[in-house]
Amino acid sequence: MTDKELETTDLSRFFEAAKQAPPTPPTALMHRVLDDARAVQPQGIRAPRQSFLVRRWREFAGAVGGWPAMAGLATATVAGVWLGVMPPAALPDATGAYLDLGGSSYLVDAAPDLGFDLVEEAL
Amino acid sequence: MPLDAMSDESDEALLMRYAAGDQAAAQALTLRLTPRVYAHACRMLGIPAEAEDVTQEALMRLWRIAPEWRRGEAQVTTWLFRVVANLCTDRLRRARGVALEAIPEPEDGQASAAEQMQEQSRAAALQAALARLPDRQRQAVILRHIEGLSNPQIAEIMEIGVEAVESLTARGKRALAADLAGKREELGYTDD
Repeated sequence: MTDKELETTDLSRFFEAAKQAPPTPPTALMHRVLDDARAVQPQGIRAPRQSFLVRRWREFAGAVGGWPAMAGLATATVAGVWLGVMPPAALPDATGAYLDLGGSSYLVDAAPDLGFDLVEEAL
Repeated sequence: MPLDAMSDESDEALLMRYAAGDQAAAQALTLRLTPRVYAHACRMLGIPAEAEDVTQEALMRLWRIAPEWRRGEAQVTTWLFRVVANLCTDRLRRARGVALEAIPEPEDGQASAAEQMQEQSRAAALQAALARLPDRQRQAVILRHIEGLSNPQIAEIMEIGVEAVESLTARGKRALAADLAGKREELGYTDD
């Protein structure tokens, strides 16, 4: 039998036998390795502690439906402010009407006798 | 000790989790890698106590490098086998001058120490024959034909070219075949 024949027939069976019966590590070794792993393992990175306001804000955002709902609220708020500041021409000027900017205004002195001169006299 | 419950995760993913502080990953990696490293070290060194030391040291190096591990740069097992190979080579070099020369060559018909322990099994005969191979041939043959690694992986582990790996395994197998030829009948093989 040639070397080549030996390689293809017998050796494969020897290798298979070796694969089927691998040396098994002792339990004590497994424990030592695990102890080493834990001893040098980096500590987990903790999440930074959130402040009270941040937590309350997150609770509020969660209560109204999460970030999608918050985005809708923010958009509506910005749109409202914009309409208030720069109303389209077709809309009545609500701010001007409320403050009556187009009409006359009156200045009423509710206590005409009261003034700083009295305070000075008292001193 | 529970079985590796993270069997669907790659070694590298587990190593990343280990580096992030996941204790379950430490256990899963230990259960998964220790047997492979120990078996390889045992086959390379032939002395269980030495193999235990090498296993513990190799894995300790893995734990220490975990935080700096670069994802995708190397396979964990390839890296680990390279460490084991270097540790085994160091020990074999240190031992060669004293211990190995002190061990008598097994005589014909007389079982070696490994064979006595494993009751003349085929695996023991192979182990004994492997022990008589030059270190580099033994390493290449074990990695290729027992660990089942590819030639490029072995080349990376042994830090040589693929052709050199092929040459080492071929010479190693020829030497093994010649060594084991006389034991074929003894081990229950007959001419096919």
